[in-house]
Amino acid sequence: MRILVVDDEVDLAEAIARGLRREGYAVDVAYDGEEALEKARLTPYDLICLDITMPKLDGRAVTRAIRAEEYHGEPPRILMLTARDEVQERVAGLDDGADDYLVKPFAFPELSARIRTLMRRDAASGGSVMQVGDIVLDAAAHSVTRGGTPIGLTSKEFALLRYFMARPGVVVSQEELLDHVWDENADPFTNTVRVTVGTLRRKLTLDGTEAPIETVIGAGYRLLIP
Amino acid sequence: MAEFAPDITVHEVRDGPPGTQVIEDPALLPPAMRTVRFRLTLLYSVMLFGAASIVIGGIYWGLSRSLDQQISEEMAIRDAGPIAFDLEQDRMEERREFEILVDQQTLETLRNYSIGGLAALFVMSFGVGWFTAGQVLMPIGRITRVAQDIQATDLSRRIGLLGPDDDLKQLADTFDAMLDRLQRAFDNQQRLIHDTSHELRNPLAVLRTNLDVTLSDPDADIEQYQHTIEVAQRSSERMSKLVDDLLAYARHEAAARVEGPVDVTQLLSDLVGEFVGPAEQANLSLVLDAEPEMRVLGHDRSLEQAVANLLANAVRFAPEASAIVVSAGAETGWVWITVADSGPGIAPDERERVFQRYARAGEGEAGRPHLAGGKGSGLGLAIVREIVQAHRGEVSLIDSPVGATFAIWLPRLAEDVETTGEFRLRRPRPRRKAAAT
Repeated sequence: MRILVVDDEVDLAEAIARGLRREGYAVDVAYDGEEALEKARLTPYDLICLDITMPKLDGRAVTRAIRAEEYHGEPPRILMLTARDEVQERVAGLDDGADDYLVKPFAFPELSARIRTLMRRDAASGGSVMQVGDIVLDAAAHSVTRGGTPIGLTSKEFALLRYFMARPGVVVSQEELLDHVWDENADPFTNTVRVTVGTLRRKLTLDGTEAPIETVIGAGYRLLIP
Repeated sequence: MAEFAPDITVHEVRDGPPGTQVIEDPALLPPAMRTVRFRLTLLYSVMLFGAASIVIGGIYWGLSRSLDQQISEEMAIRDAGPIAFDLEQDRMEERREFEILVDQQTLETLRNYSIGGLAALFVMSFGVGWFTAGQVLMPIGRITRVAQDIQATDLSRRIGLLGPDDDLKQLADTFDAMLDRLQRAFDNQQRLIHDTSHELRNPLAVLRTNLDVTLSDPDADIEQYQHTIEVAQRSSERMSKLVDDLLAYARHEAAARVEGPVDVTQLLSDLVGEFVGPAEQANLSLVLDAEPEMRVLGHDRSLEQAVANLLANAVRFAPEASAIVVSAGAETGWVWITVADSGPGIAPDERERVFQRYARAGEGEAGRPHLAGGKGSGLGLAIVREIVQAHRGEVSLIDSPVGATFAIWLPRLAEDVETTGEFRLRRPRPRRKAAAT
């Protein structure tokens, strides 16, 4: 899942990005509305965490601009962050096209829970727990088990598996993974995707089980439905 | 529970019968008799009754006097005349008695009618008085109702009394004007609280998110803790600056300002002296160029605060190794003070907005990056404007080739204007005479 965090408070944007990266999201940061819009046009973000009061272009204008644009895939979810908490402000924000609204100052666990909720709507599954075959992923607890055996994954591997589990049986291309699981700091010409998928596959293949992820030559990877 | 206290007061006022203050013991008289209307009616009736009694009593007395005199005159004429016949004399005697009897009866009838009339007059005057007093006092009832309707939080209602421009209309208009002032002050206060709480939320959010993220990270290293502490320090500095400015604002609003002659030249040289330290720390030079002996009427501490805010702003935004120029002069009845820096300046379309509370320059186009959000509290310039306007002056940003130049205009002390033979013209356009050097 790739997230764009937009806030003119540098210290706040960085902290949110740090916290979200640790939870396995790929996070980019923008410090004003124009930069946010530029980045959103270049990258198909899954979610944008948007401050309302910003220089140049405020969060509501960014939301309207994003909503006015055509998307090939899923449009990004928008979570608004703001210091203003009047009902009419919230209504206006939601009417502009935001999916959720969080008033500053917030507890970070709440922000992270709301992001999980917004992502879940996308994955059309219930709760923070996803299951494909005997693989169970708990996004809130940040844990993965296969047939009851816990599997230790890095943040990146976890994010990769979560992306696969939201699309079981669907072929996912390397470019798509780069867009949604890696952030802007990833070098598109390295074999980082291939290596991470390889490690993940190896970790998930316990003794006496089949490898759950297969490589579709020339197309990408697929999580098998048993 | 303290916050409910005003509510209770309102109810007490509302539930109390109108005019409770007229008579201390409410059990003594029915409510209708405890009103100004009743007292006015009673006064009117008693006065009218008294006047009518005197007039009618006078008529009665005059009539009885004149009748007595007539009889005695007739008797005198008859006694003086020759006595003709006894018989005639007897008849005369009879007639006289009859006349006296008739006179007495007439007087008695007059008296009875008068008393009856007076009683009727009293009743009628009471009715007329009750009606008239009601008519006259009707606007007061309206004023009372509106005053009772006004809640502490809703000052939008007005009496809006129509009719001739009389005492009561003036009372109602005065009341309305007072409500206007109250509402403005109240709205201002509300907005300040509102804006301030929002403004506090940003540093709070920064602080909280950083603490949350760092504390929940089991792998956090010393560098991350260091960074978090630095962020916390920045946020707390921002919040204390905001609280300081808020207090200064409140003090300015609440101060029972005793105005007196203030020597602007002295004030500026003291202030520049105070700022030499911070300016040197930031590697800035501070230049003062003020004409001697300029005085204005005002509150010295407030004026000092206004200029200090401008200076603090200049120190904050001026680039290293540049100069901040404070100049002052007198012109056509006004004293001007300018503070010029060579910082990033303020875009022309931002010039009015920077004086608003919590305005963030740069929200529109290019300008100072975060006048409020970054280093300042967003209240500094708003305080300057409040203070200068309270001194019947004006503050504005004036055109300068580089940086920002703030100009304060204050009316010069009247005595000085008279002795120098100047007369006060309209405020001349600010110049950058000294700042340009």
